[in-house]
Amino acid sequence: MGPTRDAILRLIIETIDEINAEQEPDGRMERSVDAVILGQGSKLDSLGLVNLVIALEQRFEESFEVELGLMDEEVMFAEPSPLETVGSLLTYIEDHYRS
Amino acid sequence: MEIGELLLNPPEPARPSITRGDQTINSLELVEAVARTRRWLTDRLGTLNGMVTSLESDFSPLSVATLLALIAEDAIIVPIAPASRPSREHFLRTAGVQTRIVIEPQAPISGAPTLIPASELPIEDHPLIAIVQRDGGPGLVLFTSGTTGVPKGAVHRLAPLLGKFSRRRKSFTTIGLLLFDHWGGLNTLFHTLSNGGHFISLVDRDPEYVASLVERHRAQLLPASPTFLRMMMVQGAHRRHDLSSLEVVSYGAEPMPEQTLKLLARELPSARLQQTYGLIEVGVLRSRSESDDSLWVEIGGEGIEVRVRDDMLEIRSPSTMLGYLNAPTPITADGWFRTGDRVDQRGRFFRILGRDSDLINVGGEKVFPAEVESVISEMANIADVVVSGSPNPLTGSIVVATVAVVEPENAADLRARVRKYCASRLERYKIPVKVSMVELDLLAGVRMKKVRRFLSTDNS
Repeated sequence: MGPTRDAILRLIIETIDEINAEQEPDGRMERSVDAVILGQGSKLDSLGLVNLVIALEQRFEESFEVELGLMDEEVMFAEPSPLETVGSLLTYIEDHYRS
Repeated sequence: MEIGELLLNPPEPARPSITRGDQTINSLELVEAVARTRRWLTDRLGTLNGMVTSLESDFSPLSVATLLALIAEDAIIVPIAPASRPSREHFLRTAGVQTRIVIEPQAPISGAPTLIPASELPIEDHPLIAIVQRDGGPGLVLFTSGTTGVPKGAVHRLAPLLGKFSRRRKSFTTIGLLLFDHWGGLNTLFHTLSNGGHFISLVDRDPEYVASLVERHRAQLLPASPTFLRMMMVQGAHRRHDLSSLEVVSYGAEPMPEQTLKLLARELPSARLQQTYGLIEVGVLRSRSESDDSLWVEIGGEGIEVRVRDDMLEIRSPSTMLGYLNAPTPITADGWFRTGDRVDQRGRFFRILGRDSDLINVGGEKVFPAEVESVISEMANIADVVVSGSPNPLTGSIVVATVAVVEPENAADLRARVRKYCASRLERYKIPVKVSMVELDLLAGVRMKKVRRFLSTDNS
């Protein structure tokens, strides 16, 4: 039994806050399930994306002792990508725990 | 030097030459702007011959006109792009810049640069700078990461680097994605202008925006890094814009994973995928990929010799730099530049395997661990630190810091603190993405692992 959907979302939002704190105001991500991570309208460049995903993985390891393995060719290039939005990421992580 | 050939002399009929945002200037306007800027600069600075000047800007109509004016006046130019700002003082001091030339990239072509006298005048010029001054002709100083953690300044006579542009080649509408203070970016610019092409300068480097410019300008040539191309594929920007005008997509600066190349060949079927090989120390060599989905590449060009010694590529070329301002020379007595790149060879073709050192290649930008380690060591509550690279499917590698602290500290707080401190002192790509905490006695083991890995690749 993994963490609840709420706990996962909270961790994602905390990570967004962490990354936003390092960004110029116009480069900051929205703090919502609809926020775009990858794709059209994303605020992140390649370094920003890598930073977000790795910070998230580190937080998951620290909080739940679980390796997410998001930085993976299969995950990155999957269609549709689990990294499309905060919502799709949330669902992906939930499924990941169930399996 | 004469710059006529760099501008496809004579530049008539007028055709679009440089675009940035909403501003496009044609080839005749560029020639006029170069002449005007030459007068403007010499009115204020006197003779520019042999003067070391910075050129702090990004690609724009005015910055390109100023660059060409400085070349025509035989100045020694130190380009500094916005992304290099954290190292600016080091660049200015190491090169002994006498006058800073600053141009806002959005300045109109009718505008003028800002001139700032350098605060400290060098007592005497560096011997390598003196060689350029003695020989006459324009010079160029470009910076590259150094093993000791301090960026190294490579001194060039510009004429040999520019020689290859006297031969006419196909004229392309080209996307100026590569950087203003790297030879890759300057090479793209000169290649485009000297063939009468149209150079599209970028306001940012977001794949969505770049793809939209390709579509809008029907661009034919896109020189890019593997990381940029991967990011474009991951985001799907290439599917939302019509990129069918692209005839050539060239890539270099970092190893290209075979999988990414195959994906590119599938997703951009109309474009030829061309690997380039260039180094700040020797310029960009002519190259030809064996095929679109092959990493084997033929490299060389007129007057250029290549050889392999101890599995490492060595190059002898008239355009090799004179040396570094602040590091020992990597050039043998008989003129071979040791690239440090390990290669496989098959007849005329090479496959670049990458550096045989602990250099970390982040999306084509090179990071030496020592530089990041020395910055983190300055921080409070840090007992010791080891910086290394870790493979990453998007940027090739990421920078990882493994830190031992003096007093116990929360992992997330430490990460934020390290990243914030590094952000104030280092270029963005050098900031550790991952910060892990270990006990001090374990850190020695981390360091040994790095050494062992290095030795094992050395013996393979």
